[in-house]
Amino acid sequence: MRAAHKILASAVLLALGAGGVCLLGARQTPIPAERASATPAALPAIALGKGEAARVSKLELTSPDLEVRMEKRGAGWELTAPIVTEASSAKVVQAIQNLETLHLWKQLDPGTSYYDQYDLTADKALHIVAWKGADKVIDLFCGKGSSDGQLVRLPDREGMFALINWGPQGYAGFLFTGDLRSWRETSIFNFAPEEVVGVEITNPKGGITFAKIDGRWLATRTKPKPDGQLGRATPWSGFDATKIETLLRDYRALAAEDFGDGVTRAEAGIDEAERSGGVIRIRLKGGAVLTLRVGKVANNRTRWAIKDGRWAAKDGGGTLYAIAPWPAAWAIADAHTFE
Amino acid sequence: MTTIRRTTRTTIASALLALLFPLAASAATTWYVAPTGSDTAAGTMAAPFATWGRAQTAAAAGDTVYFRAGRYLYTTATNTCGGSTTATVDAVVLSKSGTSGNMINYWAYPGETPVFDFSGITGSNYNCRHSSVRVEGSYLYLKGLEITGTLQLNTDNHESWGVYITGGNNNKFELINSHHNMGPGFFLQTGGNNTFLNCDSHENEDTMTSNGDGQSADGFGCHPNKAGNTGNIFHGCRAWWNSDDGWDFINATEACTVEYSWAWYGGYKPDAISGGNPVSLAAGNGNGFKGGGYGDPATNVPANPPIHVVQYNASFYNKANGVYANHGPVNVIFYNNTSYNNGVDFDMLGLIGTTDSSVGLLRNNLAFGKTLTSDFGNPGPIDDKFNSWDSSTGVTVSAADFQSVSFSPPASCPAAYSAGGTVCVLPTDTTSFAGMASARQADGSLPVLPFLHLAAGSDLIDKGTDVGLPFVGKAPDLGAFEYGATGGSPGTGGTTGTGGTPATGGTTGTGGTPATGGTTGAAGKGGTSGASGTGGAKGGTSGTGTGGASGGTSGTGGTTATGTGGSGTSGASGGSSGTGTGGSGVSETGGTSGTGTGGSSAGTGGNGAGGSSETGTGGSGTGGAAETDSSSGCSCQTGPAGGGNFAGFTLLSLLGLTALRSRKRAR
Repeated sequence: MRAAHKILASAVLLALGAGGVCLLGARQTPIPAERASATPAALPAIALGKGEAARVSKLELTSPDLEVRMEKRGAGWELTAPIVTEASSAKVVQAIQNLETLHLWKQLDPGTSYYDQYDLTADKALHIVAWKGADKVIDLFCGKGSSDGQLVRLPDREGMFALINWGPQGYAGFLFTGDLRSWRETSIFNFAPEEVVGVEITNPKGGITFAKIDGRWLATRTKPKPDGQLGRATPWSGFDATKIETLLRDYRALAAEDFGDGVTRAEAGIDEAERSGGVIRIRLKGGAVLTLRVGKVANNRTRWAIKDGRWAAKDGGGTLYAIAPWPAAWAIADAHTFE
Repeated sequence: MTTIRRTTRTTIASALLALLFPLAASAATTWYVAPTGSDTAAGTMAAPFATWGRAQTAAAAGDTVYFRAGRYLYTTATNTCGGSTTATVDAVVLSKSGTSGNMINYWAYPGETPVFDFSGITGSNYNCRHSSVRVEGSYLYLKGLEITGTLQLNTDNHESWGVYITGGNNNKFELINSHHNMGPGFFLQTGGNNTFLNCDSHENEDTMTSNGDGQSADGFGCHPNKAGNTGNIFHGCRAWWNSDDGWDFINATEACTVEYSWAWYGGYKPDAISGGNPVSLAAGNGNGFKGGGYGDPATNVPANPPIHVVQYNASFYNKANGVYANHGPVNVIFYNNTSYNNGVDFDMLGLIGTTDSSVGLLRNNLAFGKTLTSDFGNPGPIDDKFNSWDSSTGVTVSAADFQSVSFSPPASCPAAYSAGGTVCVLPTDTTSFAGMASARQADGSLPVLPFLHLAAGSDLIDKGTDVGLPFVGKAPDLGAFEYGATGGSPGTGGTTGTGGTPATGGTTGTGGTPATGGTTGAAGKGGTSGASGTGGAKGGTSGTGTGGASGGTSGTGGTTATGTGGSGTSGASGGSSGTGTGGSGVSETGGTSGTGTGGSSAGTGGNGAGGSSETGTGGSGTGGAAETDSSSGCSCQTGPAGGGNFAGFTLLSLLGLTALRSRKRAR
């Protein structure tokens, strides 16, 4: 009798003896060392080949709670379902790399009778599908965790299997869970402050422009005219240059607290940010310009937005962010802030 | 004109360089926060921020935020209850993540103790559950922080939470001291690979509760609720005088591990002493280590429940049970625990279906005082061998088996329990609680004390069975504190560790007999890669030196772990030999005992992901934290060009160039 059959038979007997309660989990669990040596050669190898993670081009995760799809775009990843937006490349890559470690070590049942009980049916399982171009390279249904490891089934072979999920070579299920927000890229800007050659702020209080020339910051100010238009820029020396450095430290790794899904740009005050909040432009060596439009206060619209934080959007990007009040404050600042 | 040309060429060259080479990721930055700071400040040492939230906004992966000493009193939360008395408000939400190679560090400034006091969050806006530090992000490293004063403001909920993990993975909590909260000091709800190293949780009580005063304030709760939430581990932690349990793993979907940790005075009202005794709370469960169980056996029990690991722990003077199966349906692993003078030392009451059962895989455990065992005779899968109460071991346990069993509470406390209150037993108090609440060693490991350590000549030595973990002597000892060093010749360092199967931790180092001192032991040869780890106990001190040892936590990275050698201290009396150190997800045999007075150093595996290198160090070092995993960080954002009115910039440029030209001409 094969080991798996023995286990199943034991389970049935125990279940009968204990009033029909399934006791698969009640048998003694082997210690880790035993687990590691119990891998039957007959079980299929399902992991990505070593180094193959880098070639995966699409990852689909379907669970009762969420269906997400991420696709590789150049060096990064894009979330293409249920919404189209930038994905957290770090999280996606980490999940895919874990697919190189998949290791079935035990078949617990040869049939399908436990699928429902262990959440392995299509409507209950976490279905992981990874693609390399048009080729499906991982297709796995993950059910409940257990004392034997992660319970899984394969699409093309009946049976319930256990996947090693402990130790250095195991499936790390927590990498594949999380709400939609967790799969999104929260990073808004990422630059080195020493690469910055200019900063411009425009808001209802006027305009301030800083330029770094030969390591020294110079500035001009522009006051608004009665008609709301900006007047002429005039040189301004009464500022504290350390404040600019502080601004850049705040923006060098600016990240969103949350996202404004369901909030329109008009509601958020993005399109008229010069009047409802402010616009900040950061010029980098080489001519690149990072522009952030900071709109209205985002209070009470999302669970995670920090009190008095504001909506914001990058030029050229469709994502609406909720940012913390402190970086937002630079965009709506007047000259006194820099004195 | 020449100057202008030169400047222009420089600018062009810079532009070309910028085009040719992608923007470098921002260098790691150090931020500072102080109670006297301001959130509009720069976040520097000289001009620190005021709040954790402000620092998080500024921090990026790889950055370190230092909190200066003092009291950070919170009076507002990040959200309000919205009229619901059962909603949750958060004081600090850690939602920004680091990366596998670049954690975000939130550390106490070296030598200082920042105290986060949440007892000021009051008023109608906050009349619901409180979560003081909610951890949603991953790859965060919190170290040296004190968390206190979490409130309950109504009786509609079971508890509030001190540190509340609701989604973070691969985080590390080290030397976090959570106390006087109206709920658990630490509560893990969702997340995997979180490591709690050398943390303390004490004097917590849910006084305003819907299910009885004290029933929900555990020291540490590990209740992962999603499949895949594996790898959560507690190592070197202490829980005392909490109104409920020391550790509680009820309703867990995946297995948790607690090892080398201590629990006492569970189930008693914090800071209350009457007639020299603690004051019982009727609703407080009062268990030291509660390994498993499910709230409703009819609906909550998973079909194949996880197997928790409870090993090398000491549990004493808890109101109910020292080690408790808590109606669990499966054999949780209980290895090498010492349980002393609890209501019952080991209670293996299980529940299979609706039938009382006996469960637990018990090896090398030691019970002494009061009722040793309970519920071992019910039907069920319990597997019970080589424990002090098993006749096969042939031992008789008495006080003479221990270096000390003397234990007493403080005569009184400076104040009765109140949220954010005063710690009753100070770290300098080495008398109360047998010193078990006293200051940790310099490397953060537990203090080395004679309490419950085996005495020379005890027949409990070498009476255990090999469970696959390192030990000293012919066989493992019974209980949590391994004995077996031999004083004498200079210690020889540990040998290089060898990689192996997933580790569940090393064994305790051995206490040395007060004997002849040896000389300095040589450090063991470092092995190669392993996951992050921090050093274990510093062993080999003079007198009754004990080597600490630590197990590894699972990681997904490293291969061969490192053996660490004992670094003995010379002295008049012998230290102890070190024993193997836990690997990071791999077993190892490193750090074998010296023959002399080597201390022991124990690296504990971190929650590494990805290959990493770690070289253990001899002595009391902390293990390498190196932990690398390729993951692409945020790409450099170049953004669209233009889009703004840069008249001012042009003007500035001209001003600048003119100024430069003037300076050049003047030379």
